[in-house]
Amino acid sequence: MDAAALHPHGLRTGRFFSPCLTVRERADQPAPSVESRSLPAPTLDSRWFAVFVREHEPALHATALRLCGNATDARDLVQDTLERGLRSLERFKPGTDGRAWLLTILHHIFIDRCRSRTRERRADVSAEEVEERVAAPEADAQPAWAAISPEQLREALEKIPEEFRLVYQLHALEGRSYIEIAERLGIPKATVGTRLIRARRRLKELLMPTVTGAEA
Amino acid sequence: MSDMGDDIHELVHAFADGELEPAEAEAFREHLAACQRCQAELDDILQLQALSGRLAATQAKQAAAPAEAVRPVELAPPAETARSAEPPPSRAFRPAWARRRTALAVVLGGSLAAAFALVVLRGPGVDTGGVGPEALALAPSRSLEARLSYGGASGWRPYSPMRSGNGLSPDMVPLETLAKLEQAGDLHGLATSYLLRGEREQAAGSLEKLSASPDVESDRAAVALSKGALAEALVLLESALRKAPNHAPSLWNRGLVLRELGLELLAAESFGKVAALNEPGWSEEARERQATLERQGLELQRRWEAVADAAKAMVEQGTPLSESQVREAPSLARRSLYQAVWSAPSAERVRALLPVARALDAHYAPPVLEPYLVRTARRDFSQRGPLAATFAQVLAGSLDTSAAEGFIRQLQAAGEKDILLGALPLLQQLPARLNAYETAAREVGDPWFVMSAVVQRARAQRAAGEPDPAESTLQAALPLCEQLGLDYRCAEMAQALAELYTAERKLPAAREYALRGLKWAQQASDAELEGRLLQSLVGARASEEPSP
Repeated sequence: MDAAALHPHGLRTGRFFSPCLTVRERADQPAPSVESRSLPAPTLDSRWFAVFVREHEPALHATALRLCGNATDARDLVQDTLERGLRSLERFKPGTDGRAWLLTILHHIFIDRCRSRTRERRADVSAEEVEERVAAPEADAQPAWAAISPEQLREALEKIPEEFRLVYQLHALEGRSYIEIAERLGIPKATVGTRLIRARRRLKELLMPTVTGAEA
Repeated sequence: MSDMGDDIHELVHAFADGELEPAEAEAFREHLAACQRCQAELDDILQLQALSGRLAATQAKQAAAPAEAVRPVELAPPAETARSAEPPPSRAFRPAWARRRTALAVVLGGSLAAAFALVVLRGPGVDTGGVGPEALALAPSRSLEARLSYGGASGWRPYSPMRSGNGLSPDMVPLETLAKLEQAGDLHGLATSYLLRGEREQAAGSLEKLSASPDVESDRAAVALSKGALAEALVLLESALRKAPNHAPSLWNRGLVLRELGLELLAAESFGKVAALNEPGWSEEARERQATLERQGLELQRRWEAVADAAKAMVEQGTPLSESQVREAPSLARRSLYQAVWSAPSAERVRALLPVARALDAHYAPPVLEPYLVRTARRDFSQRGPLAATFAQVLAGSLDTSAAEGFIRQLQAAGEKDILLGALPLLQQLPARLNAYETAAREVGDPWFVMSAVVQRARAQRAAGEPDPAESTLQAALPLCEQLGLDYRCAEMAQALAELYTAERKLPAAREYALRGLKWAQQASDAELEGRLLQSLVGARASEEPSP
């Protein structure tokens, strides 16, 4: 795969963070934990953001790597996510989950990239158009997800059928791969996949009952 | 595609989990670019994953604080103690519910251990030359969900896949025992040991050398089940149950297979039969499983019926289905959408159905429905309206049979070919007017009906006593149907093939197609069709029995 094809925003100039000036360097002083919920009224500035990012970057990177399938694109995706996060900091609602918010941004950028890449394959598009697409205004973070607590998830998990819960727990909480779970439970790998799908759908229904019917 | 399911939309999960091959992942990114449904689902998956990460973190904190409250080790027989006493790996923390499970297992342990000892001591005698079966399953819980038949491993122990924190089977039968069994020529014991050790191929090899008693067949099925060979497992179990209808391990394992096939209610029935045998331990667990499966099955049934009611209202009153209803039962929604369009008395009523068409176009690959509705809404309803009203009568079964002929002619004269596609089968004009049906299907240009025409043609050929052309008609069209993802039609074709092969007594092929059809019907979330395919499957089994 042509890695360059995945980030047409390479065309862009003027980055907020230069690729080498990562957050890690910005936050080299001892970082207080930024559990946003525990801070009564944080000042949402770039310095706060740097510490905030330090807490979430590894998880973002792991997600980006799974989506992109290679390290270069993944690094880029995270970089862009953080950049856009900083730019739209005022949209973040303290008291909701920061990682959920960052993941929403990451998801948007990733989908945009898939789209522009597909279009590039099909027809020539101007650099401006690509730029416009990539820099499109950020939709608000899905407030519904960011407002759900781990405790609510725990309760929802208690309500789904045992075999779904088991697979979900091994995968999402213990971080095991499909094949590990399959071997552990003595079930086919494909079954692990389908149980995971069903588990997630049930959990979503339980956690966001109103959204399921009305969503777009 | 991959073994993760054939529905492209479902691949979003394996994709998000990094479980697709690079080429598949690449193809999926392209799909993702165009598919809003998958985009939304990907967002949900990521968010749910983030939430789970937070839950894992809080639970890890909680778990670190108090010392392990209960040690399952304390009840383990001495042989187990050494291994179990190893500290659990740090990443395998146990969330609250898992701890509760362990605690429960320990509480029950006392009485169960007694029951277990009893079963082992007087397990059904396996002919090993006077010597009793070797006690193989010594851990306090079992790691296999399936039931084994060998005397030394057939007792009930609580099922606890979570126990093997280090990935090892809790029943690591020592090599000396294996050697002993081999020396004694106890092939069944040997096979069971292999199975307990997780060495399936060796287990299969040993079982292969034994003659096919119900015990052996049930164990072979357990091996097949663990490999995901569901059809093979089912055949073995049916064979065992024909010889011994109350063979508990076979009934149990059959329940597991049926559950894997997504047939919750049948699985529940099978466990119910085990429960009725009143074996210590097994009966209780079977009852629990039966209750859970029944609950799930009935829940699914309830949801299906709710959509079916809404679909009926759409056909009769024009109230469109919601998007989530469409997603819940896409093929039912699609069939009902056609019926609603055919009986819509006005262009407005057709246009009101557009959201349903769009939702379906997002699900089924070639987006033909929205253009079809737009086209139809432009028809002259002073002419089409009365025909649509007559079609509604046909649907309700209130059109006099003598009027059928005239109605067909009117439809043909007016050029309302789509309504003709609905009317011909309902008025029992097939196979007599098969050519008219095929022509209309081609002219309407919707693959849904082109594929339906194939099914109808095959049915006609079979009815005319030409099974071979029927078979080749279906075999030629099925790959295209699968490519188009027309799940409902694929299921119909598979069912037709299963029936053909059953009639020809080619039973393995019949079963294969019945199972394939079942998979398609489940993908279409079509409970009705699922039921029909199940009948084919059962039919393929029943006709194997010697005729009285």
